[in-house]
Amino acid sequence: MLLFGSCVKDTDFGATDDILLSPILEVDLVYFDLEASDFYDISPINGNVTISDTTEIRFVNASELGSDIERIEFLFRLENGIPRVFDANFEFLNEDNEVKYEISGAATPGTINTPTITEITENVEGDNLIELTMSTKLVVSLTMPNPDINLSGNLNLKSKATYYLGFN
Amino acid sequence: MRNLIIYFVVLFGLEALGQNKQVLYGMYDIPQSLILNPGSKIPQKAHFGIPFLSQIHTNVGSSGVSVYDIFGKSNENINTRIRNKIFEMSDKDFFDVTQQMELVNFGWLAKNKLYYSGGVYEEFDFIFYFPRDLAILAWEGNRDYIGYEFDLGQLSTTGDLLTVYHFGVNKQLSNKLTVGLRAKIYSSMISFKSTNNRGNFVTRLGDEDSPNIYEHALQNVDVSVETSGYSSLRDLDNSSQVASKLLGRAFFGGNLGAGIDIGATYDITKRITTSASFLDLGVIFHTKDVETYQVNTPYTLNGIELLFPPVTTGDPSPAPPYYDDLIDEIEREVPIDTLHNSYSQLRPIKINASVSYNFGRPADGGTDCNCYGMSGIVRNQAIGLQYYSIFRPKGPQMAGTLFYSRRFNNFISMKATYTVDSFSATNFGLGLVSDFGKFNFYIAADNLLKYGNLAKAKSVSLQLGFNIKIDRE
Repeated sequence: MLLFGSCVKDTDFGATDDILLSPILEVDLVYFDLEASDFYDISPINGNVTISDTTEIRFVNASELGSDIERIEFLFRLENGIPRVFDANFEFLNEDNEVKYEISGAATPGTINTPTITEITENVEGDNLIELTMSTKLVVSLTMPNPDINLSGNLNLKSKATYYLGFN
Repeated sequence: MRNLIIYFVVLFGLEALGQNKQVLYGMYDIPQSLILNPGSKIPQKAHFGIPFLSQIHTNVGSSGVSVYDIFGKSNENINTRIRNKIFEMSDKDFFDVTQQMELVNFGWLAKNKLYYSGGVYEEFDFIFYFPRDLAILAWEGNRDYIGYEFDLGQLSTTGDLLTVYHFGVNKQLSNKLTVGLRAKIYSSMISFKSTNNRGNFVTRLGDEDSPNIYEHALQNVDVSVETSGYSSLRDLDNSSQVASKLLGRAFFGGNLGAGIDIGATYDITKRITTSASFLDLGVIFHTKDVETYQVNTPYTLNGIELLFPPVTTGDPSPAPPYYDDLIDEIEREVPIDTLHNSYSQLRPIKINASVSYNFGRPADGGTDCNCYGMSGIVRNQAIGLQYYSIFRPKGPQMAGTLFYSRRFNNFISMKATYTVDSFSATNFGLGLVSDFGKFNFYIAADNLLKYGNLAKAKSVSLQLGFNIKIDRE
């Protein structure tokens, strides 16, 4: 190493500060496949029924990936085979259950034979990203009007996130 | 990650076949040439290496990248250079470090005309093949590689720290033929090996029946890391305890093994000499302090499935711990098994061979004699070819050397080498040996063209040492 140190020329080790590892990762998020009967409620509120579920998603939290996330793109793809419109709401909550970020959209009505595809995309960066990365939980809520025991068909969700990372 | 890149490039960013000592091989004036060929010609009556100083050998090398490739002054962005190198290199490229230090070395010519030699040396040998696919995954991510199977079989590395006890015998069978045999006992202080891995990781688009957009799959995975001498060090508190433990293993306290070196030198004519040696035909039996970590389970990840509580029950119970369940599932489905099975490890076999044409005046400066009592007539100059290979996890690595050696007088001799291997065609080396009375000193280095700027070198190899040599009458 002495030889090494004394004979190394025309190099710029200061460039190490410029090294930026910037992988782009595609990762599955949540998914579900619900039947029309899952939305039946004998006593809907204002004629609507809302169901929701919650999961931890530590992989959007800043403490897990540090400040290495530069941008996240979400894609929520709803396939609706039920002849009702669905309002889909994705709330990102922190540990105190405060909403830090929210994405919403509506799945247009479909039928069993001709389900509709609705894609909700969201690009999160800058200050919004700071808010988002404070969250640890995702609450998915689905609201359907006029529940009917005779409804049939399925509503399913597939989703992914594209992480633009920057390690230096 | 940045530090990891710097670590590999700077420390290992230097091309060589780790244990090739092409300058030392066949330099009879250096007692350590006997280590490289137990059937070497031996001019001296006896030799004693200065303890800890009789041979210090260091080699640092990388087959695919130099420090200059990454850190050289350039208008090109450093990230572009790193990316280009990642794609330029293959999974056959490697980083290696070899270090040897003789603790004791001695030899003497007995009355029965056998030359006995023995000694102890410490050796550290590390090789890490470049896992190109994983480097691409780390550098680029998987977005542009949907459907591409990242090959986990590219993971291949070995590392050994051991002490070698050896004792050998050399005999001149005739005026033309000298043969030698050396027995070795290996005492392994610490060892790890991860080779013959297989499997892949792929992110592929799910089809209509897939539960989510992608499938992240580990397929046909069989990855293992065999270690010995590691688990007992894990719980030690500080480096002095580790050093003390390793030192104990150096003196037959480690995992033991045995091997042999064989070699011969043959004078085809008075001027043409050929030689060959096979080193480290041996095996180490790892039976103590052994741990093998193994993953061999396929797994597909689709994300988190939400089940939604039934709407009609108004169930206030909290949602299932989906995330924790997923982590538990991964740990359950992709377990890292820890095994304690003994295993054996073949030593990396080294092969040296040479043919030389000897010319010039007789080496003792005067008559056309049988100089030094050696077989044949030793001339003061020689030119020749050498071959070297070492068996590594991904196959043999080979090198060819053209050399010229010259003895200037009774005090100084030299050898110049030009070595070509799979990775370099500009490796010039030089060795100098001086004998002042009974004091013998040598130094040998290769890649001399790069010493002007080591940043451009892909390897540095250096050997030096001091001996006491007693010449024959």
